[in-house]
Amino acid sequence: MKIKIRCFLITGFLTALLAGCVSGTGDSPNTNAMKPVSGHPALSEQEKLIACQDCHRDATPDVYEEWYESAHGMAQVKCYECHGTFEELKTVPDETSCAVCHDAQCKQKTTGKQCWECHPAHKFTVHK
Amino acid sequence: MPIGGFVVTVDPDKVDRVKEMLLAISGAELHGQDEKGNLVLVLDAETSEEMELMTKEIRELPDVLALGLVYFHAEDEVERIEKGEYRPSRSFGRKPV
Amino acid sequence: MGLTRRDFLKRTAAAAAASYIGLRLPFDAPEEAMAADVDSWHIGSCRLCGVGCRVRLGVKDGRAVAIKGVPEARTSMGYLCMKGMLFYKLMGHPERLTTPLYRESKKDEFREISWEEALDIAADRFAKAVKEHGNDSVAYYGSGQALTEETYLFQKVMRAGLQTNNVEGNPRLCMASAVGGYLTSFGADEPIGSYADIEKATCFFIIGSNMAEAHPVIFRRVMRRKLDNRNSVTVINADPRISPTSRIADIHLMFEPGTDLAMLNAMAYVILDEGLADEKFIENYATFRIGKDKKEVTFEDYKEFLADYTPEKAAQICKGNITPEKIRKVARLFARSSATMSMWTMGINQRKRGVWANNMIHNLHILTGQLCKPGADSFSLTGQPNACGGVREGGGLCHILPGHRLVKKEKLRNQVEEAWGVPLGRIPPKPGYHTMAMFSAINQGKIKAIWINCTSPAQSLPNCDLYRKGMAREDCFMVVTDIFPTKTTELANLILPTAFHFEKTGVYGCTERRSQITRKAVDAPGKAMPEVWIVREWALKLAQKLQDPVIEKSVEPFKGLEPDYALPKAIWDEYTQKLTKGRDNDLRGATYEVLEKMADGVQWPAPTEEFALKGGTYKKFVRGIDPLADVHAKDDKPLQFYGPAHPDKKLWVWLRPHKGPEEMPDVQYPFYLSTGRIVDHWHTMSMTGRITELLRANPYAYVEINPSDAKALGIKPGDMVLVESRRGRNILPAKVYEGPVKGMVFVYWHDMDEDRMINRVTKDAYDPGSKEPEFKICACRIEKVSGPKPLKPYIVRM
Repeated sequence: MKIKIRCFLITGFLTALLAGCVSGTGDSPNTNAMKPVSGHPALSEQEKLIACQDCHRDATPDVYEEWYESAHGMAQVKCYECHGTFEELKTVPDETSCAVCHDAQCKQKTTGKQCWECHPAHKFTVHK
Repeated sequence: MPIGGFVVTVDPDKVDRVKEMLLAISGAELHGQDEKGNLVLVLDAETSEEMELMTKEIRELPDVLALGLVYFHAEDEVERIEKGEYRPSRSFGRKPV
Repeated sequence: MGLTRRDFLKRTAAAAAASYIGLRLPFDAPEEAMAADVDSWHIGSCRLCGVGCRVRLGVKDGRAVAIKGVPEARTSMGYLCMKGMLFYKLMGHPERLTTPLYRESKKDEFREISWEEALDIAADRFAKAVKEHGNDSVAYYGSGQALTEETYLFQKVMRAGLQTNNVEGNPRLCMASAVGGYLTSFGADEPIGSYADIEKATCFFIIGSNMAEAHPVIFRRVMRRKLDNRNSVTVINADPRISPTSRIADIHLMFEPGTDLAMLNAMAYVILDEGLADEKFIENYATFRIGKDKKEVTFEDYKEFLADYTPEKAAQICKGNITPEKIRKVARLFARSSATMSMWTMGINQRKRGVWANNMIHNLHILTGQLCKPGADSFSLTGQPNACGGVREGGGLCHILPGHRLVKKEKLRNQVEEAWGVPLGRIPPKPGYHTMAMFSAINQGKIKAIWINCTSPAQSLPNCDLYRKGMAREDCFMVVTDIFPTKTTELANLILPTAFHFEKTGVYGCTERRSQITRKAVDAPGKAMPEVWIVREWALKLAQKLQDPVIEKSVEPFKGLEPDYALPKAIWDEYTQKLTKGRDNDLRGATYEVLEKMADGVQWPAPTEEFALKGGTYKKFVRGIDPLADVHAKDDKPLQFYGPAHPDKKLWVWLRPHKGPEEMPDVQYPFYLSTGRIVDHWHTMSMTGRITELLRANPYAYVEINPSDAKALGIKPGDMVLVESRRGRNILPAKVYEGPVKGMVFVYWHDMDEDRMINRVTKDAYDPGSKEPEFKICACRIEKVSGPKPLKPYIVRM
């Protein structure tokens, strides 16, 4: 059963919008020394309280859909589990975060390739 | 000016040819290689968009099997965006249409 | 030396890339590229929910720095959820409690004191209470997160030492109804089967459980089973709310809260009406019972009783999307599948008639013979890592003694007294206060000293404002042992800092009767100590102050042992060898030596080490699998239901009427309020709220409202909404979502902020059988108070 996500979407937009307003008056991103090495746009303290997927549902809808429909999406394995959170966000995750659950597979793989080179990122279906 | 660290996987027999082509790209540096055909590549670009174009170009080189981003540092790009000096053509992370 | 910033960054980039292919570069790699290095990996259990996932904790320079799953573990098969992969970050957390804190009056500021002084004060106040107000003026309130050794020792000192059965714990709030259900239906507590049944089941009946969020790693197994066998495995999800669990369901039964008892009886009606029952199984193994005096009735009486529960009538009661045809369809799937596994948690247990709801699920399994065969089981999931092992088995509730013994039975009390070497009659015959009675007694000034260990009732009790008033009383001395400040430490006189998981040694027993050891791997911060040490030292002081050698006797075997390993081991040995011998949870084979050899522990019954080393009992009551089924066999049938609570050694089918919740919506309070959990947080958030990733994923609670209700009330997503009951109010942001059934709102349970702490609103009605409160259902009104507002997460700090 696929859950209707439209209402979620509206929530996401609104929270993002709201957070945007706040960042102007509250914590200024310019004074915030913490910047991720990832190239993620700077976020105010308030914006950091928005779950990754609430913005990325809009910002990267393809990635979101791929994840949401995947086993990871179904089993509630969320963005931050692999990518971390804002300050130490990794655009490309460490394979150590795969190994938390897939240690055996990580050890078995012989190609020297990274996991997502064969299992498409965000979907992680069996093979590309 | 973002900096990226990549692993380029190439056909082990064609490593030398690929290395030549990579070094011909402005802003590309090679830092090491192993016997399986993995190259350690560092890219230094003006903007992340430019870096994305560079990676696209590298992926399309003959005998390059895979290109994986391992490390990315946006450096001052975020500040430039904030100051309004630079405006990316699409928001972060969004795929080209 | 001449290295520019850009060069440095390039080297970092190169080193990161090189580390992926195992290549060493000529220059030194910057630290961040080499993060996954550890000195040693230590096997243990996850600290959070009741699934019992096994983890390896990576330690470097004496600090926990990494975690990964244990693929050979039969519980989790190597997988971890997000909470599981991040909990190790709590070990070095800067907000840990590291020194004893004391204040004489709850209005004073806390001051740091020594352990010597702290234990002296604790002993003094308990001794004073006993001398001036009697033994029942003191109490212990523990936790399904305490190690078995801890719960066991606490209750031993309370019962044998201070002679009171005022021993309770938060499992009363989450699985007491499941205990009641198992005992009354099957004659023995805890599930018959195991997680291993998941891979053999062809029909899942998931009712009152959002396992995708509350038990993610078990949900993964069910999801895998379904996704790998889309056509041959059916998932039925019964819940008034569509949750992430519903995503794998073929059929979603959505009814009004509290009407499922009618639906379950109607399913039984269909099973009998359409000849779907396993008559032979019933004849061999079942009897029928009714009423408080457990009167035996006939199968015909049961059929007559069910005549009142036609699917047509039940559908009228249930409303939502329930139709008579849907009930029939689900009953047929349940009965006809080659193996049906039911799974539930709080949606069934936290109810005014939670025991009855449990009985009715068990009824369906007994009627259809969906028990004791591979893949078929009536399986209750547990919320805490050691609610089963420590509290249900270790004697952590007011009416039970270690080894599934009832306090009120003299013979069983005497067995315990003998094992402890204390005078017969030392344990009082009357059960103590159950949780809600205990906190009511505090309100009434009857309890003068209470020890709260590893839990936060100030936030987790239903209608908590009422009970916080009591906990704030100056005449109730409160000791709280914990690792972080909580809503409850705010009301304490004495706060004692404890060692966290992996900072001490002990056993957790998870949902499937499985006991698993976790050994100390890192040192606790500051002066934090393991609870077993705290209790032993406190008891020795109590013995002096009360001039009572029997108190000393209760900790005699443990005197002088070092607290990190030898002490918990001696406690475990006493408990398993002396008190589980001859009981259904026989753990004599599960010694520390055996547990340390096993990646995933041992499932009881496990009477010998030889048997325990094979993993123990996967399925109870089956001859050839369960060694006790052979020991207790009364005939040559393949199944032997030897549970201690049923003298006839049969399964009991109960005639239980439908009964709605205590509080129904009315004109003033027209909505149902239900509460539940979210994947990123756990319990009162004192741990998960301190992990940045988890906090940000869900920084505050919100109220879920069905879109049609939201439209009628003019509520838009993000609006601030008042949720008010007869007891209290919250103001929360709205999430408008096709989740809760029309007429019901749903709020997450974890938030500590006074405005968003939903237990200020919930109702403290409880099941008369299990004494478990009805957190899941009460009546409320909702109203928009403003548009969206920026909110801040709130975590109690010192």
